[in-house]
Amino acid sequence: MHEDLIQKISQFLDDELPEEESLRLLQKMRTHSELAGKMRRYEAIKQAIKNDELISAAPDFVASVSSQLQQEPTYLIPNTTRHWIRHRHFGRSHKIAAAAASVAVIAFVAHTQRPEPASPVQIAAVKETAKPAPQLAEVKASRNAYPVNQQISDYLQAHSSIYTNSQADFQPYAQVTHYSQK
Amino acid sequence: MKSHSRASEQLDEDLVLRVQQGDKSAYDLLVIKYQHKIVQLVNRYVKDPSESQDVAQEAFIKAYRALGSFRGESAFYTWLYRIAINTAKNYLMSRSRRNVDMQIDVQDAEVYENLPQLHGQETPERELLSREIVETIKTAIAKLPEEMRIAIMLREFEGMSYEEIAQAMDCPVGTVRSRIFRAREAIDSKLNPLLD
Repeated sequence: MHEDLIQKISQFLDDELPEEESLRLLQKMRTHSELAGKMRRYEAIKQAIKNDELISAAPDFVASVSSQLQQEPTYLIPNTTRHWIRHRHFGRSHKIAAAAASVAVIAFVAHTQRPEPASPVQIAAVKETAKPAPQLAEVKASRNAYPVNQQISDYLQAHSSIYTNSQADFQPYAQVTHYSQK
Repeated sequence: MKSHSRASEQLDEDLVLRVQQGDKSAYDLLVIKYQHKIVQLVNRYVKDPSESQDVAQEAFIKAYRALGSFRGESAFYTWLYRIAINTAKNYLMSRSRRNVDMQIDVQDAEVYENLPQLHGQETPERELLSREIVETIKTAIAKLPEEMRIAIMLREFEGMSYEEIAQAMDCPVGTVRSRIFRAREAIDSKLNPLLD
């Protein structure tokens, strides 16, 4: 037996052989009993290492299944039902393409929106003009100084065409604007 | 750690497609590929090596009959394992030999494969030979050169890929491939006298 072929059996058992070579190896095993025997022994070794037991398929296992299959009908499935593999592969490649596109868009946006590096003068100016964020107490105090009811009233007075704030001859801002446009 | 490579699944899909297109010989290749794993899996339930062969054959025939409805929602080997487990359970129930733990399902199958085997209804001679073979394998592993031993241990016990072993051992993938192959050949050469 060629050593290269035996090494391929070893790779095949470890799921490390490419698809095309795996297919060729399986086809050779169908006709070369020596190769099939080597695979049986390698399988037994694998199992014995892992499980302390020794069992593998009998040498005539494949032939026996194959002869039983002769009694079975042959599949002739219509094309429309056979597309599951193509769809599965398409879906997978589609997902990869979508992920790659997303990464590209994010990278592009990040690149275009990246601010120009600021000069030391600009940084100093920003530091001077920057104000500390208002504290909670300050926010509450400003709210108390300008009650909510008054805020609503002022808003309506400015924007409503009918709100008059209970004052005689008062024309709301919106209405005045309307007249002046006429 | 990977359990089934993409290339392996791809090969299965192509072969299944060929069977579904009427090529029965493609199914032989799937049988060649999975025969040992299915016999070993079935034997976990049946616990009788000779009956396991028959039940495993039945599982392959059932899988062939059901292949028309296989749509690839799961990987072929997962689907095949499920059929094999159900066939083994049905066999045990029909014979009422022993209670079957119905909690074991296909998701557990790969984990279950790694558990120590409870020896079943083997003949004393056969069991003795099995033990002798297992001991021979262990001795052969212990006598391997260190780098070969580590490579095959990482592969078989840790389930690491060649790429991962190469990183762990700081050597090319080709070297890992060669070391594992050489280790198997060395063990096989010790096994030959017992199997002849």
